[in-house]
Amino acid sequence: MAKTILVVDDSASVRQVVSIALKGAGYDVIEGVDGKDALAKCNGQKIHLVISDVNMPNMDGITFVTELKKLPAYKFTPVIMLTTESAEGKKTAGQAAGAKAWVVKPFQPPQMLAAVSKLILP
Amino acid sequence: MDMMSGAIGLMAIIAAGMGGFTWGKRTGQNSAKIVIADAIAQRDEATASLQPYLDSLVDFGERVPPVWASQVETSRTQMESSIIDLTSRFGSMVDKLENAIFIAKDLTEGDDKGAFDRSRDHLNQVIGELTIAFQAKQAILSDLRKLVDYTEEMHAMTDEVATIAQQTNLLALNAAIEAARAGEAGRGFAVVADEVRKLSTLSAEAGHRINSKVTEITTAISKAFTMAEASSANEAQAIHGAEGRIHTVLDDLRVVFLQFRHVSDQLKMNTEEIRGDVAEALTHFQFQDRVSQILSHLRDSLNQCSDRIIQSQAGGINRLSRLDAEAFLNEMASTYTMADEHHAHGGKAGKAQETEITFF
Repeated sequence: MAKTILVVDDSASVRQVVSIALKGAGYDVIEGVDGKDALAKCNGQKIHLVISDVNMPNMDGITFVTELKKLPAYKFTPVIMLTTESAEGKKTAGQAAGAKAWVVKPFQPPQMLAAVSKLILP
Repeated sequence: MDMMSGAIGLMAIIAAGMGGFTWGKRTGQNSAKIVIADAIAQRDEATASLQPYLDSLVDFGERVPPVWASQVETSRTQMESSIIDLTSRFGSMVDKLENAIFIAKDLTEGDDKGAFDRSRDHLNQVIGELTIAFQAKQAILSDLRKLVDYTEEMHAMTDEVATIAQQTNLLALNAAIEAARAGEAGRGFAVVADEVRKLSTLSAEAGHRINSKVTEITTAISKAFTMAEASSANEAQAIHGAEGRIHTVLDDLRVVFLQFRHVSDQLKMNTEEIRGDVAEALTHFQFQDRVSQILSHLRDSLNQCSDRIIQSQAGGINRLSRLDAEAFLNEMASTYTMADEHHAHGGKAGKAQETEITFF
């Protein structure tokens, strides 16, 4: 059975690019347009990994990861932050929220897939 | 604007000082007053001429930067909309290509034995069943041949019956002659001899009828056997011919099938390459997210620029605030999220980046 990855980004084109790369590698993908939408999409279902943007309307990525980790079902779900942000302060905030990796856009699918493969839950 | 009025006041004092020096030497206190009045008049004239400029600056700040910001925002949203549409279409293409690859794979590699091999097995099975039916018919023909042999034996038996009847008739005739020679004593024996002769005649007639029927049966069986043998030969030829034609058709189909599979494999390979190219092209659409963010920051900055110009004159002409370019630029820089923006801010061109991944 294919593993499920939640992709959260307010940019539809980025969601599309990430989804195609992941689906091409055999993963199922759920999309969220911001942190608030992503929390609603989780809905208790099994999610093996989360890829989230940082700067988003309604609820930013750092707040989203913080809230996600408060939910028992997703306490150990690995999170990759995918963002244009490269400032150390933001990275530190992401790490503190519970992210396992920080990927700066633009990304190349092979490198992203390697990171996903390394972190995704069995 | 304290700075402006202070400068004009300082000019007036200097002018007054210079005027006082002249007055001391030439005309006295009245002349100094005139000089001071001239300086004040000059200051008022400068202030009056500055006001329209300041008004135009406010008007410029209120109207022009918002239009720039609006144009930037329009460009950003149009680009975003188009790129989203493009990525969606490219995504759809990738899905369709993946589906085509899946179908091609299913057609050529559906299982260990493809449709062609299964069809060949079925047809060979049909030929096998026909051959078995033909062999059963050959067994029946063999039995029919034995039946013909039996009828020939029956002919021989009827010949023996005729011979026995003839011998019996001769025997009865001799017995009658001997009975006549015996006179009265042989009269009873003559009756017996006559009856035996009649029986021999009846036996001869029965043997003749049996022989006639056996001949009819033999003819019928021989005719049926000849026809069955001819039919069997035709069937054997038909089965052999059908087997040959089936193998020919299968061989032809195999050639077509192999050609089809070769073309299908080629198409699958090309489709996979195209799918890879399209997916690769899609990754380049990430620029939209980056450019959109840069344009959003520029839009916000233009609106702030407008506000700053207006705010600089909020205290009126006598309390003008300085437009602090350095502070404004620093504020702009604080909103940047990308290294490209920092590079551009410093007048440097952005450079292509490798994927940057940090694991915590």
